[in-house]
Amino acid sequence: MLYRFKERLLHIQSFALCAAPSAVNGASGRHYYVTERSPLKVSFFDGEPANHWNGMETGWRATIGLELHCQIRSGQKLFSGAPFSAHAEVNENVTPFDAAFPGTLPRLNPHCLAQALRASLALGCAISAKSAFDRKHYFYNDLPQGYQITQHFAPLAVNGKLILGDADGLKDGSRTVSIQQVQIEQDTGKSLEGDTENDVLVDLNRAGAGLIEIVTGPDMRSSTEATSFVRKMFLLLDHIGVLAEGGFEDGSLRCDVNVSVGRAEEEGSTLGTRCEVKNLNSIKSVGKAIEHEISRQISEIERGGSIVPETRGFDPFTETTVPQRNKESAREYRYIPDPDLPPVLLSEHFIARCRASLPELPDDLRLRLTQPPYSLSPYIASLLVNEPGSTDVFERLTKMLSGDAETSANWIVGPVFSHLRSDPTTKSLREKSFGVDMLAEVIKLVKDESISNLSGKYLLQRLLDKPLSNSQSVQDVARELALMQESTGDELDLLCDELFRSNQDKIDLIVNKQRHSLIGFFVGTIQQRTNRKYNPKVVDALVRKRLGVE
Amino acid sequence: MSRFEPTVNSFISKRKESDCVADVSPGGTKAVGDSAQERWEAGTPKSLLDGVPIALKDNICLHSDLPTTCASSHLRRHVSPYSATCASRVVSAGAVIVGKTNMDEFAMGSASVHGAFGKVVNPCGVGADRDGIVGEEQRVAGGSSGGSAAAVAAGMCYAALGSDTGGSVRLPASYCGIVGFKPSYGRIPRWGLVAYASSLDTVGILARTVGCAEVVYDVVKGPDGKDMSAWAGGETNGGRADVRDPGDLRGVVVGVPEEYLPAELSPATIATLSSCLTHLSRLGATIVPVSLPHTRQALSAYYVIAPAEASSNLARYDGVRYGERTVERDEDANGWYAATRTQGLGEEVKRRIMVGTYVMTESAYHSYFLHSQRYRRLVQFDFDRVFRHPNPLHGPLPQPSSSPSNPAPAKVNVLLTPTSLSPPPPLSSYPPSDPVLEYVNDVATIPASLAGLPACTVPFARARGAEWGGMPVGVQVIGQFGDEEVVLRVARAVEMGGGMDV
Repeated sequence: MLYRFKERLLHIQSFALCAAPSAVNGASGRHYYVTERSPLKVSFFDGEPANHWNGMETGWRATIGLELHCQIRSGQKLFSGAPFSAHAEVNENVTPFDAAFPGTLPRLNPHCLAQALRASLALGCAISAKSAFDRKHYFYNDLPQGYQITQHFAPLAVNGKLILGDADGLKDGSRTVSIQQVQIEQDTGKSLEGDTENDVLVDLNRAGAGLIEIVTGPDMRSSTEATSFVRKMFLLLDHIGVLAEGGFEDGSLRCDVNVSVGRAEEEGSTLGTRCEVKNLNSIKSVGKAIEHEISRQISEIERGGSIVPETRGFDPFTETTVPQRNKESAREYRYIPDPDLPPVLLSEHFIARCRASLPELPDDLRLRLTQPPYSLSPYIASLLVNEPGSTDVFERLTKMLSGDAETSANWIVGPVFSHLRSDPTTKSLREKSFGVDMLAEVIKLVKDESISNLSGKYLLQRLLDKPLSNSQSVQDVARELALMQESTGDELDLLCDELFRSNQDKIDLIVNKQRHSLIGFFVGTIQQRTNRKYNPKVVDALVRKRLGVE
Repeated sequence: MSRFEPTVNSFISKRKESDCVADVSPGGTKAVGDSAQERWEAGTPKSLLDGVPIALKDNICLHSDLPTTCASSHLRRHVSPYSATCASRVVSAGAVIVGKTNMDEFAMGSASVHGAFGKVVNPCGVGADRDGIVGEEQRVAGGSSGGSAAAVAAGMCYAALGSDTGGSVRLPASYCGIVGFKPSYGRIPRWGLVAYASSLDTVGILARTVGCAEVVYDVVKGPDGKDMSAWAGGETNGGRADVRDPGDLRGVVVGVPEEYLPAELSPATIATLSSCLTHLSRLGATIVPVSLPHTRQALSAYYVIAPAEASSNLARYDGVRYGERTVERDEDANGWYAATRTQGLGEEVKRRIMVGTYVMTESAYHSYFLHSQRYRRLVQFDFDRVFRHPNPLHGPLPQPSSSPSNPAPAKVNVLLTPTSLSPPPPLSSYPPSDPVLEYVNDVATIPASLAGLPACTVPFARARGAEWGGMPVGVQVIGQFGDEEVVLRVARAVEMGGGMDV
């Protein structure tokens, strides 16, 4: 039962939705940061790797905790059975429940539950045998029921962890970030700007979609750690298939950060007053928001002021945080257990099935790639693991290349990745029905010297842009493009004759003065004239033979 | 309908009068009735309800041109895009929906006087009752399903569906002299019943006889997959074997809880109850006194839990999607919501939302909300201790070892109690200035609601005298969770002895 509201947006009157940007005591001219680049640059994250906050130099330390909201990959919403897609038309996927029609009731989508459970297991959490749903109340135009169904009193899972190491971009040692809890909750709708300044339009497509909220302990010390954590979490959730399609730009992962600062010498004492920055929707904003908060809080304290506990927003244009509401007007969410939903009782069997459905986790995978039979370098292994879908391609390709892991990895992190970066429509190798057979064919042609390395890359590019038709083979295309290297041919002899005739001086030098480096001139010229269709080794051998030099 | 409805005011919206006479358009009442007539004549009715006029309380969604207002001016023009499970089931069974009945706004009230569409008048006071006893003044019909009760009592429909959260089916049925049956919580799916207090809301049936109620119950019961709180357990809880025949109650133990007989109980109620017990023992039943010690706290617990859930359930009527948007936009969002809700919602609803909102705040949550939930559980355990069969929701309770000085309490099949402690109040005195005076009307019906138990009120007597003025007196049969059939059989047995004057 799907009611379409496409023809009209739910039209509501507006009010001031955002706090006006006010004067913020921003970066005060002192440079607290040391800029460095993360060794990992993963294409589908927007922006540059965040700066690194170096607390040791200035005598300050920062404490950072995160709340991540991950849209659950599932064909349907959490409670309504409506389809969910980030790219639906406005108000296309809305059932009476999603629009909070009176009398409607939630019905838990078991697939979302299983997905949240898989994420919890991947984070090493303790799973609650009995969890329950609660209502969190507040009035907002994109919250149709006036409450959000979440898990406040009895979350699905608690006490997990995620360990950050050098493979995740940490320069100095590792950091264990505790996962305090994992809970399932509903997403809200979206408010859009209307025709006039005072209009707000509401799109309920997203309303009621399933989210997993992951709450960390206050365990991170720098923006680098926090951004590494978010990146790693993104990759992990994507890897296990829990994160909804799309990336930050589609809002499938959103982040709130809690930041407090204190003097370094007070390490171990109580935490400073913390501020929360809400709704960060890119890794770059997470980094920038934390950096700005740290510098703002330090300046405030150094000026003799104190930090007010408050919720702040992030302005991506000025890269500063702005106050939204302070503690005095903090919301009273009036949590109560949701009387429409019975508690979730998980059987050992169900948990075991979810556990069994998890793929090998990224850290395990990375470790395995650096060990025999692959024995890749940690750097290459990280590149592969951090690009969704590429490890699978790597393993299949290596098998087809009779175990030549190095060649396989180099082709993937080289030409395949660069193709991926250049094609904005493709986000990962998993989404692309990537032809591993085709890639293997190309590599084999290069290995048996039927085509040159350079031609191989060119050929691959062509094949990725324009897939093979059924009747074509990779060799056919290579031949069509005149990439096949030929070993013999009258053409070569004729060319040699011609070149030798017009370059008698060079031949003298080679033959009489042993200037063998000049052989390269002949080989290069022939390659150039023949469009490199001959194997350079063959050409080299021919020239040497004709000149009678070894 | 044309005779009583102008006085009784039991409907908020109804099928056009002309529909019943000449309209032969598809879906018109006449057409539906006619085709049902043909089916009956052919011997192939859809069900026992084929062609039978049924009314729906106006908080039960019906996908039709009739709005679903919940008697709130906030939902004055709300037309539901879907039908409630119970409504679809009676429609599929061939019933003709004659209209949507009046009620207290969002089912909050015990007198059907808190609605945007006027008060419901008890038809027993306007000469509509079957024995022709005419009261001297207009009385309240009871609430919140007062319109449903009045429509049935005045003969405007065969039966009606209502909702019972703390007694909203049983109290008006008792006041209007008809049968009101509230099954176990979740026996009839709540999908399409506009929520008041979700953990208590139960679809109930109002009919003139227990038999009529059973016919409707058989059509609407059973899970539908859309309500996760629906009870998917068996048809009966094992008690059925103990009560085979309403005319033969040998071996059946009827408990009378002493807490339901307070000093302020009206003499007519006591007289009714005792003649009913005499009647049941003549049929072979054993009558035993029992104690349900936490009954006293049930009312208070109810008036914390129900408002809390109401405050949550009614948050959606904020003027953005639902609710009349009477106030122009405001810079301050919360001020705008507040103004809209202040205008659109009635006094009683606002009172309960305020109470509910308060008990849910962080500072009051433990002392009020959790505390009340604890009492709710104690009320449930009280019942479990006296019933012969264990509660299928949580199995047998640990039994305290019995000793000669502390004998194990008697185990009963059903409990018999008054449905209300006093006669239907005069309409002129309602709503009372102190809302608590209205709240106490629910004292006998709330415990079964808190425990989710099936309960049925049956009219047993007419009470003479100035206080009662010929008004009917009902008695309530309460059974163990899931034991609807036992409750209905004993209710039939009660019915067999009814009709006396006290």
